[in-house]
Amino acid sequence: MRITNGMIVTSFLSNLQTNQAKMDKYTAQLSSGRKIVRLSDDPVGVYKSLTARQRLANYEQYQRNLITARNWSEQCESTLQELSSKLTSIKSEVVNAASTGIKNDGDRQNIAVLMSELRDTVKDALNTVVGDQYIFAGYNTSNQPLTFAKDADGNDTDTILYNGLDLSNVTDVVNKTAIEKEQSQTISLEVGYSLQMDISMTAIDVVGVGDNNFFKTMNDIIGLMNSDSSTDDVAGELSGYLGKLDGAHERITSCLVKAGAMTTQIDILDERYSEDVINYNEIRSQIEDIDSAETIMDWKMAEAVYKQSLSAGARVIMPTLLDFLQ
Amino acid sequence: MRSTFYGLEIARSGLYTSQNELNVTGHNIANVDTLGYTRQRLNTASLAPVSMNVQYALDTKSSTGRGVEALTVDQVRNLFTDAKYREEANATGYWNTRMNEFYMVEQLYNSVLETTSTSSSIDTALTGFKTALDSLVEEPSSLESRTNLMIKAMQLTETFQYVYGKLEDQHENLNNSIAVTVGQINDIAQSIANLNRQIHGYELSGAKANDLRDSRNLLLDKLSGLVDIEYYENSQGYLTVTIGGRALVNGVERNELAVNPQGADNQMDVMANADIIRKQYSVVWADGMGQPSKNPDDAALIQSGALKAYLDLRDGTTEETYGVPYVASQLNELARKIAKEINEVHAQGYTLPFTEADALGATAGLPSSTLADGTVYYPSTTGINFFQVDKGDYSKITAGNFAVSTDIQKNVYLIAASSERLTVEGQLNDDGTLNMQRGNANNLKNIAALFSQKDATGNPDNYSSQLKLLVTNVGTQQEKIETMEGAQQTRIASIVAQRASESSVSIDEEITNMIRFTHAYNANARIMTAMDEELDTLINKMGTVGR
Repeated sequence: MRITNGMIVTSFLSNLQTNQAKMDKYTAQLSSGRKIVRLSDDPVGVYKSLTARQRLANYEQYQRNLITARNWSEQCESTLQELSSKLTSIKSEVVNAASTGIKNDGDRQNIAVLMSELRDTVKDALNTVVGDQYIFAGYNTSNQPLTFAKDADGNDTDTILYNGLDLSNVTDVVNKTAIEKEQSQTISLEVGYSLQMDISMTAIDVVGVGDNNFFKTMNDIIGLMNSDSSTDDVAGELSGYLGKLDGAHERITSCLVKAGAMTTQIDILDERYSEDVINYNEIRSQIEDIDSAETIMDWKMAEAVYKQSLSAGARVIMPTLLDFLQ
Repeated sequence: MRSTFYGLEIARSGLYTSQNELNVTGHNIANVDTLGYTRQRLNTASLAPVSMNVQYALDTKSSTGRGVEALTVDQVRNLFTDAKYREEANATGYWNTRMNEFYMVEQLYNSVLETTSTSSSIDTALTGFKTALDSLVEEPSSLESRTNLMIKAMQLTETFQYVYGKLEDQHENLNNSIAVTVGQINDIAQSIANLNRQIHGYELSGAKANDLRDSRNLLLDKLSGLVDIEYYENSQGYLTVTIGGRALVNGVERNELAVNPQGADNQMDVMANADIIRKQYSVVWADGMGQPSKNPDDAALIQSGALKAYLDLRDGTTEETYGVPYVASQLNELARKIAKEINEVHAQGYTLPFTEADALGATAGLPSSTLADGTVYYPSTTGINFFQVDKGDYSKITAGNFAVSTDIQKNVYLIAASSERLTVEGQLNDDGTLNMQRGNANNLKNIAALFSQKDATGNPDNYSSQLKLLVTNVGTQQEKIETMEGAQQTRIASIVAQRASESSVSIDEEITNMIRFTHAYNANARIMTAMDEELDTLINKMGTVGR
């Protein structure tokens, strides 16, 4: 085939163009740190990378939720522990009073006041908050769950209401349904794929309903102390209440166990997610990021080829016959 | 009998021809870099001896020829290679244009590859929206979290609007490019017609109009990149060029292509699949007055070339044709899906009650009520839409008008987090119950669950999976186009090489020829001198013996 200068130049230029394009590709990879500079470089890789990123975002969200869950469960646990010890002291007071403590009206007064204070301490403990939210209140997180009922004049009575409901009254059907509805309202967060974790328990679970309601028991004891019955009868009835108090204590302990289990699950999930985040970051990095050493090598090779083509081309396109004629 | 000056004539013809050949060589060298130039060669033939009066000539048996005659200056050009080139130029023009234009679309979605959280991609905006949703679930009555959700939702819709706007711009550009290309075609046709006249006139004398033909061929090359043409030359040197069977240039006459605006001016209509149409130009043949013809038979049949690439990209509404309207329609579908599904769940939830002071004027036409102390408040209600939709017609939503409902933008209390009606302090529900559950976020959780939906076979079928498909499809399409374009470049490169091999000027060859012709000229000059001396002897020295 007849070859002309023009053809040599054209072919030289087009090969130069190819080499430059390769160099450009590696330069772009190096300067951006990414293997995939444009979508069309590797569409399948783009798909995998987006999937990995989405997984990572999910894990980050779960981890954030776990932090909130942990805050709630830790507060819950510490409150329940406090309650447990309070109940121990209440029981010992009652045992004391039942056996030897009540000698006169003055003692009865003192015991009534003490019980009242202890009852209020329990109430206040269950009104605890994490941040702005009341954690024992079910969905009613912006208001105190346990309040005193008001009488006709607006003064506080001894009855303690939960979200406006009297927990000791389960014979009234309307009340009972309302209480059951309240009991089911626990806050839950997503801490895994299709995994909702209940992070709260309501005060109903802690204090019980109907005759087993702790506040009712306490109010009964206070009422007994303030009543007109004789001292011996009072002592006898007092020991009868010990059974109820034991029941209340057991309930609190079982709630404590539940809270502890929740904390354990949070720990397990947290650890698992930390590992998963590392794994997925690795996967994502494998797809997206360049191996600097490899890319620099490729770039160097492309540069060498480019220089070679420049030098060879320069030698070929310059001389003509005129250089050799006298 | 032979003429006296016969020899001089022979030498003169040789000199003349050598000069001519040197001229041709000079012309070739001068044009070594000219685009489209075909090397020329002088055709010579030896002149036969004079045949008149041969019966009277005394020395017919030893008569010689009369020297050399220059016949024509010919181009060395292969018409078949030309035809092959133009075919490939067609396809190359198509794929090249398509690649360059679709590159702009790919650029729009490239931002999903960025890893920073400040990237402007839809992907990031969607994730941001989901994160804001999740934080609101933790504390549904928090005003800050609600405002955050509203802002992130607005970022999402604004990102959609931005991408859609750019797609519209691209569509507009393609439309204008069509008009510009048609103008170019008409200009080239005009030039070809002019050249036809000139070539015809020149060649009446029997010479070949080589350089004019080169210009005409160059124009044909350019034209074949723009649109698919058929052409043929008749015996008089007139070139006829047809597009889709109709003549663009016919001798010195030409017909024009024109663009006919369709659709309403400056109006955006919404079609079933392709949601962008503007003043779309259709390519038609012009009538006698140069105006685009309204006759449907006069629609131009364009099948390849750059013009077809512009048309395909502007009009492609399906996955096979993959034009800008298809890309836009995919985006629109995603926006519609998000708006419809989220609205449907949101409308089932209940808003937070708020007072007149909180409302900032956006009360969504809700009924109000009054508290015991006289404050006007708006109770918790349901049926509120999160995203703007016109009269419940989701098919009217495009990525361009995708927006958060204006009521929610002004008043974030209207975000329906709760699954049950909430009450205000001291007020009871209609059924006599008191419900102050500010912590109820069940409706929000239902909205968040939409983000991890799966279809019947268990494969993910949610917003992120659809977005992923959308993005990777664009990448795959561009990859495909670039592969075709690369293959096409290789093909056309080999034909260009073939053409150059036949027709282009080689300096070394021309220099060699130049040396040859110079020698020939010198030799002819010597012959002339020799003849001259002969005649000199004859005229001045014969018959002077003894003088």
